[in-house]
Amino acid sequence: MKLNAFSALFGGIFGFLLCWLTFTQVDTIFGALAFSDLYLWKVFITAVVTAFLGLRLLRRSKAQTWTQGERVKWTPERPNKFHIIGAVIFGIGWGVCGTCPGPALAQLASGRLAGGFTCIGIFAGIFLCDRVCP
Amino acid sequence: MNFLIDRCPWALGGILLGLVVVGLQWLANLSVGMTGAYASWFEWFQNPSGRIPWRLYFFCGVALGAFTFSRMTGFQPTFALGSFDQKIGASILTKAWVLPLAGVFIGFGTRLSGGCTSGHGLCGISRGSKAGILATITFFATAAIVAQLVIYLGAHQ
Repeated sequence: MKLNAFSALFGGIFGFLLCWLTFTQVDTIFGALAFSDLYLWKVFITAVVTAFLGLRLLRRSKAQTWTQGERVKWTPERPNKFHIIGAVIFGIGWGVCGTCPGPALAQLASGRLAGGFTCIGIFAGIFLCDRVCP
Repeated sequence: MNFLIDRCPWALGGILLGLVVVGLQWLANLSVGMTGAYASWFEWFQNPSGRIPWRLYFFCGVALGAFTFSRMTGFQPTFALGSFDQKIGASILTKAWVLPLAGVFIGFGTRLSGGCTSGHGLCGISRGSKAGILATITFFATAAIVAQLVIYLGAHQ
């Protein structure tokens, strides 16, 4: 119960922020990809630094999770070729439509209806990969 | 809500996004990830009587958060898509095939690589995951090149 409620809450904050940060507007994304507008980069780097420090603070203070009382922990993934191949395929789609999965959903839900087309494609792409990917 | 019309100050937005990552980790050692959130629908369809995945709640939360924002700012629904309309096409017909096709690349690629901008980028890098760093550099670089190509081709049609 707590898990589901807070998952939805954090999702809500995330979706709200994607709109307020204008990540639902393709020109913010295209501007970042062309380095003509550094706003997205500043946000992204600030977010990574915040999360990096926050996660390490949790781990160092031996914090326990709210739901199961486990130690806060994570295991970093080892890189393999699929990380690169998949990221190239993803990058091609992203460069064309200026939208990644989070903003595509936030576009649709906030009334930028063309995002719905992108969402349909994302669902189809995931479905396809689950059929054919190793 | 006038303050929502201007885009969020980058420092505030960055800190709040970072805190979402920290919050989910603290909640139950979860990792932020939109691709997984999309995929959780299939997970649920395959086993409708089982537990609803937390990622499905996250997905619905994102949609609800974005909807709330649009109501607070009085945004009018539109099919317009910024400079995409000039670069690729403004008509709904163009969008109805280009965007789903691009979406298939996005969905397939993120699923194969195991994450997107949120999972590999935000969450992966802040966890110090080499896979996350590698994937993020790769998809940002690819997207930057493709976006330039699209602009170039658009100008030489």
